[in-house]
Amino acid sequence: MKIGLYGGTFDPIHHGHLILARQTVEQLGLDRLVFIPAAQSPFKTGQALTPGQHRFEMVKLAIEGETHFAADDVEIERTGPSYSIDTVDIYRQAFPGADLFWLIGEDHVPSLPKWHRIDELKNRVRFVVLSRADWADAGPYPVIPRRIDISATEIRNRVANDLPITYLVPERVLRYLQAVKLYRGEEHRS
Amino acid sequence: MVLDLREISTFTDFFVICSGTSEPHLKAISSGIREGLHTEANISPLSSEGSPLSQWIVIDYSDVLVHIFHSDKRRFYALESLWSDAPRMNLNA
Repeated sequence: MKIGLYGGTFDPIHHGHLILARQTVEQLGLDRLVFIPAAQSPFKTGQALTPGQHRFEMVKLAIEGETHFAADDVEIERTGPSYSIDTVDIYRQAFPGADLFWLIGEDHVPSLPKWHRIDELKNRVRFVVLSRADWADAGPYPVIPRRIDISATEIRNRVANDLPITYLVPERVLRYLQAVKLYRGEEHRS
Repeated sequence: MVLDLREISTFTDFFVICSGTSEPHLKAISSGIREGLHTEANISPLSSEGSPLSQWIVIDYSDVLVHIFHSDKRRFYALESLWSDAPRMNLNA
């Protein structure tokens, strides 16, 4: 049993995440991949995230009907600081003997040594690096290479500037973020 | 609730998921299962993790994993969503 844990802000989830997720499932032969929207990142204390419930709702809408994908709100429901290792321990308890993979973007590789209890974490999961380019400076970790360039920042800015985001996010996500009027505030205007 | 994972998972065949309403209740369910299986079938678990205090106990019988949650604990829903394609049986005990 191989389970991939895909943490991220997903603000919002977009086709780039989904394409990489599918490729990861296929390349690693995962039985399940779980999208885990992050609480406010300890590394991005300056940037305010959209409330977790909206980000989680968009993830659920994006993966609806995909049996290999699931969503978990464990991190956004957690009170106090949210650490990957606490999430991993929950999955280890729920699925003893399963192989756990933790997916990270290549931009997070340099900060890995600073992660909370990283040495224990490294023993409990296998890190997998998602690369948006043909190559990645991934250190010792396996890489899922996929040149795809969609950014959540661009999506938020386009919404704020009344530009269409069709094709960038799944239709159901588009309808949700329009319905609750996400990303329309001044803070996203570039 | 029982999730049938035989067609899906290689590491266990069934999840038995149940809930209690207090820490003593969780403890009672856990001991009831362990003692019942021990006296009636002479089966002992491979391992057991968690405690009533953590509001979630997992008892590993290899082919069957028993999850006992505090009813406040929402982990239950995540487990269900992960196995949305698993056949499920409701046991009215």
